[in-house]
Amino acid sequence: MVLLAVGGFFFALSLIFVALLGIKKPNQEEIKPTPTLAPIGRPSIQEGKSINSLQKVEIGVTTDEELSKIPGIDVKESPSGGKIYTLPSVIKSRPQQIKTSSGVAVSERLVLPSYLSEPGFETLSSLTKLLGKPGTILTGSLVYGNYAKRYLYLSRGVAATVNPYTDEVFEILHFKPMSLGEFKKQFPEDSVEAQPANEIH
Amino acid sequence: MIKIIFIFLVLFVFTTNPSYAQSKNTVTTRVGNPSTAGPGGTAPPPPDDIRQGIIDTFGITMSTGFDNDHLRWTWERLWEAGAGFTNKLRGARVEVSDSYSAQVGCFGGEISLYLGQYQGRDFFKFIVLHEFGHVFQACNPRSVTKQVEQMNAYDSEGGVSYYARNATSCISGVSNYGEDYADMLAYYLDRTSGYNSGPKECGPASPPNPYGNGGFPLHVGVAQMALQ
Repeated sequence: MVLLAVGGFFFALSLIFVALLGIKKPNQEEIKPTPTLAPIGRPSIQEGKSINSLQKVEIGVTTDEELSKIPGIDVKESPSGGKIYTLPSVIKSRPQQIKTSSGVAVSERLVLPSYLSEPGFETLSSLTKLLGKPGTILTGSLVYGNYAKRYLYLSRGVAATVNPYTDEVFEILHFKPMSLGEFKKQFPEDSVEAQPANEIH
Repeated sequence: MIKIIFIFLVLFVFTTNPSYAQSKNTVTTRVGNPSTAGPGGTAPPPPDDIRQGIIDTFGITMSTGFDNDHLRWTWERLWEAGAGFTNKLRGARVEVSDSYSAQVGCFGGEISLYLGQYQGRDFFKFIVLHEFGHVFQACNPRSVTKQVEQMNAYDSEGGVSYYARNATSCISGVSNYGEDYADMLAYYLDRTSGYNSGPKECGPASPPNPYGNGGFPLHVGVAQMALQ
């Protein structure tokens, strides 16, 4: 009994020591500023900001000559005229892609990574904070699956393939502002709509 | 000096505490949440109220429209699949359908999945894996599901099944990559199964399991990572 009482006394004493050791002055160096979108390349979406750190071009401004100087970039002639430039992305079969016409960039597809630590990772909430609510939402993606949505900001020249359930952005396509009809005509693959896949087994 | 005194005090308290001396030779039983290792292997007999048992054990709500046979098969399958699969499905709601199946939502209280009550225990249990595989993919971040890695595996090895290679042409608007993902998990978690998860007219009814004889090693690796 006496042993227990002595043990309890020392235990309480040790708790005080732990509390004293745990008190730490705040270190000013540990307080980091909130990250912001850094302008990479020339901004096109909003003055002073790029849509994503992987962005390479400004629509209607960046030229073939400038694009050809990007290290590692591949180029081929487009069947519809102009050129198609590609750079590797996290998905082998779906590279970053820039299309040009009459010597200037007309669209850029950015395939975003899935890990927070990778350059270009983007959350849907940060994208909607930048761009607001989408004007149109399309359901389904032939690439990512039926659960994916396409958020269209046509007046700002942006279409994002996203997963609203997980707050992820899979791809960002940017282009000159256009109507929905024009978008569906120019980007048929990105305009596919699908109802949930009703699998009849 | 303070640290030395502190260490001395901690040691003193522990060695003089009667409960410490007793615990050295006893087995502690924990009560509360089940181990994260969770279900896996052979399923135990289901409780009388199987539907409630699935809710209590897996956090998955099957609608009251499912009959007892299909509830029991679901119970078995979820146990056999293991926690690497079922822990990422917690919060799912499953509604019975007449003949088709489709993932339509996630874990926010809405219906996650429509599931048909297909006949044949083994076939239904395979479809459970495939359809929950869609929920698994849609409702967890890609860093967890390894979807990008699966897409790269598809690009290197092709789809693991006829349906995964031809889904877009079998059902308009359906993604080959998406069906490959669900089949990747289904065939991995049911290694004896050789069923077709697609529509009857889309591929053979009883193909061999694609992972037999070391097939599709990249897909196997991705499935292992996703189910950790």
